[in-house]
Amino acid sequence: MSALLRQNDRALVGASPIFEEREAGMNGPGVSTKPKMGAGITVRNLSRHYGTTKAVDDVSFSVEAGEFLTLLGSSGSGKSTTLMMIAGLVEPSAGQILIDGKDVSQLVPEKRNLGVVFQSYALFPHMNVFDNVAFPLKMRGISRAEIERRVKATLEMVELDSRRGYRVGQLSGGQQQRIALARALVFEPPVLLMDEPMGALDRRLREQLQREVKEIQQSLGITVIYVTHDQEEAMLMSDRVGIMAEGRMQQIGAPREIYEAPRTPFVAAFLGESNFLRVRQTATGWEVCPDGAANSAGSLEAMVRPEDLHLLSPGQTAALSLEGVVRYVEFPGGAMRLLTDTPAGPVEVRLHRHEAGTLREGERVTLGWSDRDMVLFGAEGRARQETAP
Amino acid sequence: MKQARGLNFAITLSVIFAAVMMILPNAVIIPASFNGENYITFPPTSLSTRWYETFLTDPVWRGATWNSLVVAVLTAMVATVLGTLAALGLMRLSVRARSLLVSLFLLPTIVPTIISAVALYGLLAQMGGRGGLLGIIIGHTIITLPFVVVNVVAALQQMDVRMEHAARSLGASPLRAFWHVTLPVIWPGIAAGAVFAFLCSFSEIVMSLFLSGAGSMTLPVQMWSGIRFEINPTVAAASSVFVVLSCAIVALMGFLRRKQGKAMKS
Repeated sequence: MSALLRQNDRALVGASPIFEEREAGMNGPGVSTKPKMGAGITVRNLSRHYGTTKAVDDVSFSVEAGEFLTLLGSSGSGKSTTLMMIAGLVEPSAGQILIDGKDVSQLVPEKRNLGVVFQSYALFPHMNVFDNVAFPLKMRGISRAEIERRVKATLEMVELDSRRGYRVGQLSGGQQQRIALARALVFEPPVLLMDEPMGALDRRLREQLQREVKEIQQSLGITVIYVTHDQEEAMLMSDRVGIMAEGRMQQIGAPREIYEAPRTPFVAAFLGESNFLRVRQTATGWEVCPDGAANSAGSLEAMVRPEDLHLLSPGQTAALSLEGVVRYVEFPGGAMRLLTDTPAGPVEVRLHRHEAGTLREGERVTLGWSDRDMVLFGAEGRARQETAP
Repeated sequence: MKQARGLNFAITLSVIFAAVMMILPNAVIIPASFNGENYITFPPTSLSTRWYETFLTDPVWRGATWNSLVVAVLTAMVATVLGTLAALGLMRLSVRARSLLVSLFLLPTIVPTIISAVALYGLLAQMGGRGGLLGIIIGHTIITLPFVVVNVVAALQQMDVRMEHAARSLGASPLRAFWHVTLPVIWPGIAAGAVFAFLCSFSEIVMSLFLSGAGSMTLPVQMWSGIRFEINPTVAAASSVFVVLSCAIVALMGFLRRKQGKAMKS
């Protein structure tokens, strides 16, 4: 781990020529000279309709300069279409896109000056590594010597300068990913758009690249809009996460915020694991309504995360509690996973190994949790934060 | 298992049969072209290259060969440019509209050539363009266009559109994205279409019979009249040259494709 971090430090040193150049204001012709840091992006009422299907439906959000925003959603949620509209590669049916306050909705993609990393990388197979990375600079009419210098600096940043003469097909998936990143960064765009860039990589490589992308983003200070269906990736990398479903933005916020305070049952169920119960406030506190009696007056829908549940030993109390019978115990590594059958329906529990002890299926248990760890939803499915203390 | 083996055997047999049927005429014609006699015989009774000499020196045969080459090269060029443009346009349509229009582009391969030939003959006669090479080139372009369209559409369908998108996002105008990215990637498809167009035009006879005049005889038309009016072994020599040339072009194409494929992979 520390070796890896050290390697990354070196990568950051490699990035420094770009910085010096920026500070010296030596940007070549055709390259946007204005932004030293990332640019802010505002998306207003953006829609994309295909016939009667609404791929993206009235989406609005804004990203601050230098921020890392992830659009998270399952396939068909409209996240990629949103990203491609920002890139200018899909025409919006309605709405506006502003970069640093300027409306770019009508601008062709080549004039938007955004770096884009595509799913499957979209490297040019008929060019070698150097020519791939040099491509955006050539399109901007930059001198040969300057191209050589910048491509070298960028390839050093992704630690692949030694592969400059290789054909794209000779590189591994991770290396191709880095080249795609280098190609999207070499012209120093203020914003980097990434469309499921890690989709084709194995887990270990993905974790390493996630860290590298994050470090590069922070060292360059650029704005990143990242699209993924991988929750963990989204939570790990982002300053804020926007959850999309059915073409709409469901909720946008910092990773902990959307995890701990989901605004709708959909977001609560989508992110991580969750148990949905109905609860009712009583004179002394809370009680859990049994399954079936759900519509009894004054009950609310509540969500509690499996890891926020605890086993209560006899005599112990909690703000809320529920008795159940263990249906099964699983150990996938890390925490123990339990499913218990309770009067309120099946409830999932995550316990530390020591807390779970020698618990077996068929045993009776009492589950307890704090009302702090519970999210309440009103009748219209909106979170009722005001009722939670 | 036993049934599968029987099926395999039947397939192998029919492939061999088909191959033999295709190769057999050449196995007769090529030896016959080296015959020293004044008429076509098989097996040849004496060996000679005199008919090749006639083929290469006789102004009529030379003229026809030259005409065929000019027509085939120009046809291939025109059909390749038109067909590639058409394919690029087709890719911008919805899948449904595209498949509909592709079948429209395939019509010349379905409509009997003689019908297109008669139609074009009438048109050119009215416009006074009959009997020249230009008319033949127009006719051949009509017939060969589908080969180019189909090959280029296939190449474009295989290409990841994101490559073009990447080029645009990196600062390339649509024209430069096409020139620097799309064209090099789909090049094998275009080349295959061009070679098909060339070969098809080079061996085409129905259109040429209708549209050629005294000064614009193509090689197949000359061979046709050679068979009809004088059974002269020069026809055999011409056919052999024809076959060898065609094989060489197809082989070259295969070689280039393999080279390209290797370069793409490694």
